Amino acid sequence: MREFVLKRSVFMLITFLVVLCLNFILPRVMPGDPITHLMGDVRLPPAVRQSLIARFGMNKPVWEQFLAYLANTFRGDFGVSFSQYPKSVATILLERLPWTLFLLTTSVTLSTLLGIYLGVIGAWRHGSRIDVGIQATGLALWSMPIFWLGMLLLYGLGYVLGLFPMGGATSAVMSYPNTLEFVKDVLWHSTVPILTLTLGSYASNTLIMRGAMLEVLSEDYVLTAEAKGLGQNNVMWRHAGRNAMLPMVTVIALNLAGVVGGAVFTETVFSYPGVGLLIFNAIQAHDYPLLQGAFFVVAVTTIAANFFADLLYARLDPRIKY
Amino acid sequence: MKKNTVRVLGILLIVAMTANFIASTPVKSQTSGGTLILSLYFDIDSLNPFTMAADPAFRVTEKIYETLFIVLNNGSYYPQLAESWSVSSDAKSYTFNLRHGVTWQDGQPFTSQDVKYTFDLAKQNSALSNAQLAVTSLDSVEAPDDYTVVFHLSTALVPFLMYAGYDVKIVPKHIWEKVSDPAKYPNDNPIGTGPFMFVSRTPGQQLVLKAYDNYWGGRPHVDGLIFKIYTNADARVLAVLKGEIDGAGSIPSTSIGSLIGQPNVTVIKTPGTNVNNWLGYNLRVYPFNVRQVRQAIDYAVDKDFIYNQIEMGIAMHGSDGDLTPAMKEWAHPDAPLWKGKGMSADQRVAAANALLDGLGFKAGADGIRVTPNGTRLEFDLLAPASPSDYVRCGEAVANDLGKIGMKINVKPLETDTVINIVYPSSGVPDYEMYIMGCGYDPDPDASLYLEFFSNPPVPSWTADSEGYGNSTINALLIQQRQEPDTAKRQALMYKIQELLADDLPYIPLFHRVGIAAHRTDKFTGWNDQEGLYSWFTAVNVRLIETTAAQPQVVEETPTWVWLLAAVAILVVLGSVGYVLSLRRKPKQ
Repeated sequence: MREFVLKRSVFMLITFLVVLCLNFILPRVMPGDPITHLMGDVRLPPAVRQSLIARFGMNKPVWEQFLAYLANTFRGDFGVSFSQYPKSVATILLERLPWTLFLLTTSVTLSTLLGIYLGVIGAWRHGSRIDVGIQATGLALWSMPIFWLGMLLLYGLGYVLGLFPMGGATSAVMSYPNTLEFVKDVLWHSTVPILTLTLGSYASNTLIMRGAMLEVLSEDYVLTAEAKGLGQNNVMWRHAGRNAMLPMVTVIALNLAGVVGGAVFTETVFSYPGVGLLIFNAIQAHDYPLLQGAFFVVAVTTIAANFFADLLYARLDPRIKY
Repeated sequence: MKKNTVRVLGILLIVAMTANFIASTPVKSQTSGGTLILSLYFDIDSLNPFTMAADPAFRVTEKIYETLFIVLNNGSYYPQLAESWSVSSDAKSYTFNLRHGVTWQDGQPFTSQDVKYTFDLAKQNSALSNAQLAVTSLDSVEAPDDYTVVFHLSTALVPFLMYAGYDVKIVPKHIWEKVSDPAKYPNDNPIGTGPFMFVSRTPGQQLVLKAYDNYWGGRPHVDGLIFKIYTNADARVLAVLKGEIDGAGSIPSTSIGSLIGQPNVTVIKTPGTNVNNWLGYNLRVYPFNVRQVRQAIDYAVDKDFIYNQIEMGIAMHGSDGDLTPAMKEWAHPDAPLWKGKGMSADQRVAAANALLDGLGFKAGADGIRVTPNGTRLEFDLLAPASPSDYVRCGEAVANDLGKIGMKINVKPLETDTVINIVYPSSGVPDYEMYIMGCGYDPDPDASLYLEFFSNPPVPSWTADSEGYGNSTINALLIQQRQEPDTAKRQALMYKIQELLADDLPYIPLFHRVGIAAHRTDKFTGWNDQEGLYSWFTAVNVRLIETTAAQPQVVEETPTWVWLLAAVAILVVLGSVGYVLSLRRKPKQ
């Protein structure tokens, strides 16, 4: 086991280093540069342009910028944002990360649980109308563009029925009398975004679970369990479901990897101040430090999630030999 | 056993939460003055008045900081920190008489020292971009007494009055002189002289301001002003319709149908005073350098269609003189200028064809004209992807020019990409045609001089990019900058516009009009003439008496939502319990 962990760790580190390099190269491959974006409509004398170039460190040769970038990353210094100068990248990310994490971990959890539940039911009653219904609904919701689904829910639940706000993570208030009010407000504002994300994504989990479950249902030990007279729920969940869950571990890891940046459209529709929207704006602004910082967080999350998924899978499935 | 435990816990949770919901009270955050809520269409980038670049940042800081005067939509100057001003006859000295009794939001008195400091600071530090337009021609600033400021220029520059009076936000000397690098200063707690003070900012969500009690113009009627960020245009419109916010700007023309005729909602259209949205071309590429070709394009492009069908009548008709009718003092009396005005589409196509035929451009077998030296009239048109009407205009242009034997390939690209190609920082621009838009300060110099004057070292966007140079226009542009007599300057402006309409360095397709909407059932005192975000609205808006008794600022969380949340949590807990219970070996 220790050897396995070691091998995986080394592999993880190598991946991480490669991603670090890509993080630097990719934003700079895009046509355009941050200064043009900042200058926008304003006619600036050449002196101002030069001072902007110096401010962003773009007057140094690229390899020097790259080495500085590597050194700073290992020191934990992500630098200062171009588009929100002079705010530091770390501050910006820390401000937005909790919102995104809240939104996405909640919806990923709900989506996974819903997917598992519906997948098991669907497989158990495969071919029946319930199964077909589950799949059809799921696929229909999944194939809708997520911003459209979001807009529909926003319009229907928020405007027509008047039950939810039109956007934002919080209400426009001067202050809150106590923390509970703040929590309630946040939950109220995040209901429809979470609903959108969950509905738009549970179908893939359902299908995977259903597929795994169908395979397991054809195994002999399931037949044995039924023959022994065990109750339906017992067989369905404790015997079959438990074994069919294994692929879901990988799926959960993959879903978690998309946690940081995966909700750009939803965040735009609901004006939710998350990292996805931040990344989108940073790309438009060619804000290299912010992009580097954000991609770093995404990379770390993804690699860590995959690493733990590997370990967990090995732990759960005694058939795997390392 | 484990399942039962989970179930019991879940029920207890529901009971606990229900008890709490019944006992809870809605959030009341409003005092007698009310809180006005306006939208922003994206987040600000910084609160530093010198370096901020995002449009919303200007809207917010305008409430905190002030300039010497503001320019109304009819073009006149309205005193703010300066009560009156005068210009020397040679247009080289500008004297401002400052208002007495103004205090900074931290209590310190405002004097001419603050004005002098602001301009000196901008002059020394070229990184303070927003003020550079005003200080590039500035020689020196003196403050002979506490309430007088005199600016001295080396060469006459009539528009300097507007650049100095309107572009530069005055900052307090006693705070900024302690800042080591003003360009890097985040200015998280801005202190200005304006009607509202900064309270807090939640990035990506909102900015909260409160009324400044000792404002020179009288304390605003409302207690607070909140700018809430709505990145989605439809959500913004719905928020106004629902009453969640009091006013929203940046409304796309496609949404106006859902707002007009709605009870308690007023829709305002604000023409950009000096704004241009045009079709341009690279004059280094033959045959764009031939004036008749440009004139033929001008005839053929159906601006009526663009005005009616694409902008849906909510824009100003493109004027080839490049100044909109909103520039009342300066726009040509015949504006919008267009040779094709009043002609039918067929007549214009015929006129365009006649021009191209006259040049000897014959149509090939595929209908596309070829010049005598073999150049085929097929060109790429770069269209910025946002706002979305640019691409649609591009398609309309392609369609129109197809009728006169030109093949146009519309290439939608990201706005920044188009800017980088058309206005590269080095090298000769390499493109054929493009569409672009820009807004300028409300003085014709700010658009005409900066776009069309063609001598370096003044960086000129259009003239440099397209390779345009007209010495007659250049001479007139210099003249108008130095002509202090308004009537004479106006005559020069008319002449310049006529020349531009004939020479056509680019072809304005339309001039953008901003759409905003506000509610009328909670607040009154809106200034629809100057707009939602204007100074007049900010200081005049107040609660309507009947609604003052029913504070309803924050959206209240209905109880049933909590029951739903509790059910959802129970489901989650139950499922987690199931999943955990799978770990145990099944009983044999």
